[in-house]
Amino acid sequence: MSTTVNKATWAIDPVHSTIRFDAKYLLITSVSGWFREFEGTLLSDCTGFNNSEIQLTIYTHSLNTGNNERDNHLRSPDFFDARQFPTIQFRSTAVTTNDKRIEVTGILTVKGIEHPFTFNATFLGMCADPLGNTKAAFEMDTVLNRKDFNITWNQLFDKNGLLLSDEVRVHCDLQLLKLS
Amino acid sequence: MAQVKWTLDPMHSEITFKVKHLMISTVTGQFRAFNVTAETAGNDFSQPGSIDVTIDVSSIDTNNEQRDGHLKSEDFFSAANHNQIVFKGTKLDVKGDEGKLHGDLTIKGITKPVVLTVENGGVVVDPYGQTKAGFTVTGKLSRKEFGLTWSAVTEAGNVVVGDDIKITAEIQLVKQAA
Repeated sequence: MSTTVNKATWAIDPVHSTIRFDAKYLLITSVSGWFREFEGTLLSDCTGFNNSEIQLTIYTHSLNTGNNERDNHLRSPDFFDARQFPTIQFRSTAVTTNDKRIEVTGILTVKGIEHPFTFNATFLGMCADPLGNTKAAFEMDTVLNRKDFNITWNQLFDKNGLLLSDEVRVHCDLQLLKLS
Repeated sequence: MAQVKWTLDPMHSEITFKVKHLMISTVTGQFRAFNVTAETAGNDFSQPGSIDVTIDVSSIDTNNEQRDGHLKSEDFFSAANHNQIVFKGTKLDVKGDEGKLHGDLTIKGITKPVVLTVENGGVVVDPYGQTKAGFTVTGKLSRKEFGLTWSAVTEAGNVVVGDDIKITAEIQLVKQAA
């Protein structure tokens, strides 16, 4: 006889979640963008988020930096190559919690390149929204090197400066809706 | 030294705000249309002649049209009557990489003095030969002080939209030929 373990399924509420990235431009300030379309789920047992399973899909064509010309450049083969690689994927292989801190290890796939990826997230709390749904909030902040994913476009300026940093900061504010 | 005029590079500048939702999570938005001008002595921003910012409220973008519509309504910015946010810098104290920007901020017809934190990115020449100055400006405002008072509370007593608004502006200015 198998024992039944109560599982809880959570889905990202896209209206109250943000996936944002920024890179240094000209070394003096940052330019940011966000993905308008993404979806993700978290499968946990009912006692907490330890050993959860996380899946996230981000649609590369939905990137937005507030400038159409730049967005099209970012969708081109110089950057994400959105036609050939329409999604960025993440799936977790291990999730461990320590109070509010969550360490997530998994595989991140960008531009068809799979890379092991570990990051820390913070659990910010749980509450009922005005409609009576249960919501949980998480935040994560990490730095990726775009060259790891074969996103290498750059240009020199001012003698020997690089126009665009290799390091890309990724910040996620995620609100999850409890489905069952 | 002669006065130098600086104008905004809108393609490489952005104004972002963040607010707490349900007290636990964060919602982010940007104003897509705004303008910044400054006057300085040479490349020295330590005692600018002027810093002027105008923001088009109707360009608000939180990645959700329904919410953007609510933010433009009477409940928040009242964009039909007050479509401009105006900032007039009165003093910039920059020592090295960091400093404070003092000025008068007008939102929804209400003017208050504010102090913002400035990170001075420095001055460089871009690939097109333009001289550019970069600043990251951050600060925190109370939306209620500017008459953006809409509020709701959940059954359990959680405030739906927080009062504190965190601002981050990444600004690149282009030096104009004398």
